[in-house]
Amino acid sequence: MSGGSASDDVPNPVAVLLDLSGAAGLEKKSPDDLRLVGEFFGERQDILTRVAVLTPSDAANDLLDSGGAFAAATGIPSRPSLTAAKLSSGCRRVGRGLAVSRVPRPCPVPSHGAPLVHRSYLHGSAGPNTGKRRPVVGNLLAAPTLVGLPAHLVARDARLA
Amino acid sequence: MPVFTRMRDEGLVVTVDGDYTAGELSRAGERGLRLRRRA
Repeated sequence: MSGGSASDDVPNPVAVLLDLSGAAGLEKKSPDDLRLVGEFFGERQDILTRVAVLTPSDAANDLLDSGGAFAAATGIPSRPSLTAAKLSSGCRRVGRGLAVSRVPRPCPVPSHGAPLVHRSYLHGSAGPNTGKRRPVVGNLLAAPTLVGLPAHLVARDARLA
Repeated sequence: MPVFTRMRDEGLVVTVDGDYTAGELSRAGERGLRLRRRA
């Protein structure tokens, strides 16, 4: 881990999107590896307004569960896991803390393009309603500090390519 | 190194492409935060 307090480096809090949708071998990462990454963000909570983690698969998403090494290492209070049904409702709001989605079965994956994320993903504001999943993501990210979402549930927006 | 950072919509995006180590991710994240400070 890199040392030093990040608060000296970045005076203004910033939102971070950790895009692991293209990561390989995430399912095989050891708890120590996940813990080290979690600690990186946990040590910088004072300068991060939000950390959203985009995961490549349901299996990888499970690794980011509230009881997992990554989430525990961040030191951010856990929130109950979200189900696909709750995500689809578009009305779920969670408080400050950790929210990790669990998807019991694969959802249809768009056949085009790489995962693209609307600015609402970083800032929590509701973006233009260009698809059924846009408001879902916007609402979900309105409050939590650390969020895990499988990539195929994140809205795609060609304008941000 | 398969970890990249960039600023987008005033947020820091850390993208992992391929296999990575925790150290690579942390170093890239730190670089991104420093660049953001200078922006």
